[in-house]
Amino acid sequence: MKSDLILDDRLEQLAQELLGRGSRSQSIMNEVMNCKPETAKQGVEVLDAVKQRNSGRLIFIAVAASAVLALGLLGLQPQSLYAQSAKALKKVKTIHLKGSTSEIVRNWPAEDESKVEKRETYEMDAWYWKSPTGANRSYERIGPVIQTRDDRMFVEYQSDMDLLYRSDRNTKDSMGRISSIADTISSLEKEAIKVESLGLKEKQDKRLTGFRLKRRGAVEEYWIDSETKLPILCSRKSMKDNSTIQEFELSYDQPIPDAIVAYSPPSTKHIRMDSKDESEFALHVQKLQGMVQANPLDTVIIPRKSPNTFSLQYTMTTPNGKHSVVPLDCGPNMRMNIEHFLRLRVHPNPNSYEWRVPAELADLEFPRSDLICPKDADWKEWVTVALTSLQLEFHDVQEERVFWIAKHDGRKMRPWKEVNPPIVGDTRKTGVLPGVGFKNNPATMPELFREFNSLQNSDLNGSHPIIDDQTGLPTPPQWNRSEYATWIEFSKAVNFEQYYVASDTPWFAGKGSTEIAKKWFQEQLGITFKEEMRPTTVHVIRRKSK
Amino acid sequence: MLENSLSSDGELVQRVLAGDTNSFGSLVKRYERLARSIAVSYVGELHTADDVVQDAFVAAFKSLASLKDKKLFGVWFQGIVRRRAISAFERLSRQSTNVDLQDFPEERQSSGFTESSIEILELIDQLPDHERLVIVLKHFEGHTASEIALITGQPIGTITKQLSRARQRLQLSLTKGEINEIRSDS
Repeated sequence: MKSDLILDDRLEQLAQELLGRGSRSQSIMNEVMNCKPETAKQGVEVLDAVKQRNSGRLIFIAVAASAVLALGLLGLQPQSLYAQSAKALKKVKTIHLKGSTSEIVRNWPAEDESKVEKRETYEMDAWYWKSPTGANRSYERIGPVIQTRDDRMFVEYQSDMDLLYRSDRNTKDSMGRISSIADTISSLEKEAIKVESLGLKEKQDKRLTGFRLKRRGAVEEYWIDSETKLPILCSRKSMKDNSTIQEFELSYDQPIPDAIVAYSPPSTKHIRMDSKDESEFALHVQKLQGMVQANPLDTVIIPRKSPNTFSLQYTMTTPNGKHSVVPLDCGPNMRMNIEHFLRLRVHPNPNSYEWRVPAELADLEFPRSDLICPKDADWKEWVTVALTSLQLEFHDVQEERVFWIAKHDGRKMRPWKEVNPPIVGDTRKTGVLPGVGFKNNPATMPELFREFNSLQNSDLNGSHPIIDDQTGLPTPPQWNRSEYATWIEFSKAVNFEQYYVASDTPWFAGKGSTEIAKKWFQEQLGITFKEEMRPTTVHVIRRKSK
Repeated sequence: MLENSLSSDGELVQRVLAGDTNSFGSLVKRYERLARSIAVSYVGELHTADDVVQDAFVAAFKSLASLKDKKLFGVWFQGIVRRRAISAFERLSRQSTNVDLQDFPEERQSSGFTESSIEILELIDQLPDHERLVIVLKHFEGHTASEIALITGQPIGTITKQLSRARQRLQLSLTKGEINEIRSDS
């Protein structure tokens, strides 16, 4: 009996831990929605459900693509018309979608179905545009759900659940998808769709060309601006009962209302992120947002009420997008000291290897607290506030410093699996020695150089050599999260493995490490370093003068 | 929603193949923890495990029509997860040339799982597919034996026997482990 209880307890504990980071079902379904069963029979219309579920966002692109495709199918100069329409869609700067849909889209599932108001149709209002910095932004409201995207950050507020979901993982948006409209069209082209012409009609001052097509259990009607070739009116009705699934009107390049651009979700105590730990910290950040609203331009440090700490915390933007919250804390087991602060919060602006900290100051700890500053505040401003709280300050010193100019001798690179660190061994058994591989992951050339620079300054004396990469070897592209939701997806798409140059990153710190590094880079990778003195800025931390 | 959650795997698969993709969401919810438990037991950490799980569900969705006996989705899906988890594990192992495979479990302890759970995960992974399925549906998803019978399309008597056998195996393994621990301590 006792062992039964123990087994049940342990299974229960495991079940909880398995869901510790929250369910990924929505993310999985998002991906599933974008693919077709490979061996499905003709007539199995799996994508029908896709269209209903993603009515707010995906439907727009599908509709636009269908419209462009259908124009071609109408036989109206298909090649040139397709080209014109695709070109026109790519040129638009803002899109406004207004209409209705029969289904609400939620990226975070409704947690209490009883609170969902069942209606035949829900109002849809969506805007897509680019920010002055070029980031894709969108605002989409379907019934009680408002979703916004700002580059990587996705925020969904469900007013019926009073729930806020934030994510920086799944940020694909319609504007971004427009650039891949040709792919969508090519997938539709494979289907044999019969198009029925609806002739011409006038709407306001526009002359519209209409057509109808039947597919996936629905009758779709599109009206295209004869002049601009942009889709203007779209509707989908069920073939079964003629009920409307979606109907909406599209307009382009209108000024976006200030209220849409400045929208920020209301405060709520129900915040969800991709993991439970993140959700807890996000809730804390939202509370802090409320505390700084009175003085939005100030940079302040707010102490935490003991023992308020989080196992996952990082610099996070407040839900209204106006402030950054920099946690001055490392988690339940460790408070944040100056070294952690420079490496975890300040790096890479500037890089941690650009700092010099006297040994007696590096271990000074912050009380558990959060620094809050305007989102675009200069790093010098908020770093100064943080240091001042410990009676410290920094000043810049211009000095000559040794740079290693890295050049490649042009040899063919060996397979990365054959390029091992100078010392092969397990750091847990051998300890961390200069030259031992310590990351247990393959490394690219920029990673090797970056780690070298960082490790060399492990004692924060700011006087080690700095590598300047002039090898001309290929460097991997940045992971664009708005295009690829997961690392696996990204790494497959760019064939990331081609950029690996070594099986692991060596620990190049401590006595003798520079000589080991020089030898290793030359022998294994054909990289030599030419030393050069260059003037550079070192940020030096000291006690604040009285 | 309720209807889907109590539908059998076979029914859900048929619905998906008939075009109701949302029904696949019910299968995802039903088997997410099972998939995660298998993936974690191979790759040792949740981030990679989650990617494995996502890949496995997408692969299952794509090839759903090839599943001959629709009610065997759970068992069939476990195979997909396992193959993908093994590939991911091999990839990780290749990448970390210095890691002794025997040391791998130690790493898991820093990835959000307690030592106890890692041990249970490994034991569950050693169960036959049918037994693993019923254990997961009962203990991770909270289904009763009759619900599991409905889900898997098997007689309730079979389910109770499988559950009983699976629990016996787990208890026996745990007891053996404890004895070994005591021996090594002394």
